[in-house]
Amino acid sequence: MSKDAVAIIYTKMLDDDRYRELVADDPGVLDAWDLDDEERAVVVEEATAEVSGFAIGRGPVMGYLSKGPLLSPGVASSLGVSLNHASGLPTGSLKGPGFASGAGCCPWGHPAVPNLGGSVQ
Amino acid sequence: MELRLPDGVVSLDDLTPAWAWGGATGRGVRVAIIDSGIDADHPDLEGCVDVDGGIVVGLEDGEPTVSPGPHEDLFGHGTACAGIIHRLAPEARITSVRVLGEGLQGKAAVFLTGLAWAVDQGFDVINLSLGTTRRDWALPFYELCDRAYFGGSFLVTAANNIMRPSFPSLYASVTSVACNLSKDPFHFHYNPEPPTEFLAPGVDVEVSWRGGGRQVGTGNSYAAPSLAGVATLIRSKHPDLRPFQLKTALWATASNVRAAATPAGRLTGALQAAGRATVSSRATSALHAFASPAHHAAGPATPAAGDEPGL
Repeated sequence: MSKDAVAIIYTKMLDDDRYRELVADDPGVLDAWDLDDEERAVVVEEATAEVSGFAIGRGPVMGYLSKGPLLSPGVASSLGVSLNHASGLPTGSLKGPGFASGAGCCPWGHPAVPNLGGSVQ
Repeated sequence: MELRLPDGVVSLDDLTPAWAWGGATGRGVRVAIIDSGIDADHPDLEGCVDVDGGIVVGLEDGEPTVSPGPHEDLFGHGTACAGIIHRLAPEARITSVRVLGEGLQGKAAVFLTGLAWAVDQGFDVINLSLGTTRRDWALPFYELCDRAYFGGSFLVTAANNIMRPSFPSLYASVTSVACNLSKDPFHFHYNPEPPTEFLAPGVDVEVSWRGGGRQVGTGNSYAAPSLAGVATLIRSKHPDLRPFQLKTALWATASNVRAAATPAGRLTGALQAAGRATVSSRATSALHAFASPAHHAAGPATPAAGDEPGL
């Protein structure tokens, strides 16, 4: 559940920059969520970043979400919708659960949301 | 001082792709990549990285430190940018300025120090696929980018992926880039509604990654080096161009500008027909969220009729 919580918080941050600022200014607002120390740290790191590279899906939160168990489908879809919207890309540009066209009913089965494009090595 | 026109140019109509980069390889051009480091041993890079010439910028007791010499890529992002530029300009020499850490994030003071070093070193082209959203750093970056501009360094910056203003991508002294949907790096677009001035391939791009592999990635991070690679070619062929002239060459060779010029057959006509050089509605939809809220306040870019090739 707490991994879902990280995704939900990140989705809120993508949708509303004021919420991101709130987390950055007062991490205590995260007390309302069931986060462990690592999860809390990546969320705060994401919210307070001074400088970031501009590759989609590569930040601390997405790095965290790419490991471990799957997100709940609804949570992943919401995150996908928000990432698509926030990045301004045409629907379907970003691959993976939640990123395909018709994000609410996208195909499932990918190991992680941020697997926007797997290794082609 | 004698005023000379660039070789072979007597009017805007002479700024063709063939004139701009035809036959160029990047030879003689020094490119700095401010990023997470570069995997210099990556086979895709074919030894183009000046390993000993790079630096790592860190923080010690809150003060930026500069450590010269070989270093690795902590993430893969810098290697991706280097690979894109090298593919376009294989004879350019690339130098890594590492300012980002393992999470692809860093401190503004470190970023500023790394960029200042690159500007002071007089690199011809500097790629910035990163930015800061901290307004308290806006002025130092503004002053530094002006110093680069007047010193002759051509700064190419990625616009923020997310609708938040970021620096230095908002400044006139840099060339700000967002994604188009093309796969052809020479099929880039001019955006008539700045601050984001150009669109280049950045969606589902196959990029080199640290450790010798490749990945597929999306973001303005990959659009910026694509345009930087074209700028490197132009710089290689026309080393005396000032940054504003180089930007003008990019404008004149942008796909939508060339398309707008076609009916009249002349760029000068296109210039007079202000607004004809537009971006397609599909490219615009991608651009909107990449640009700043200030850009949004200015309203949408005018959708073009018939400018869809490659999009």
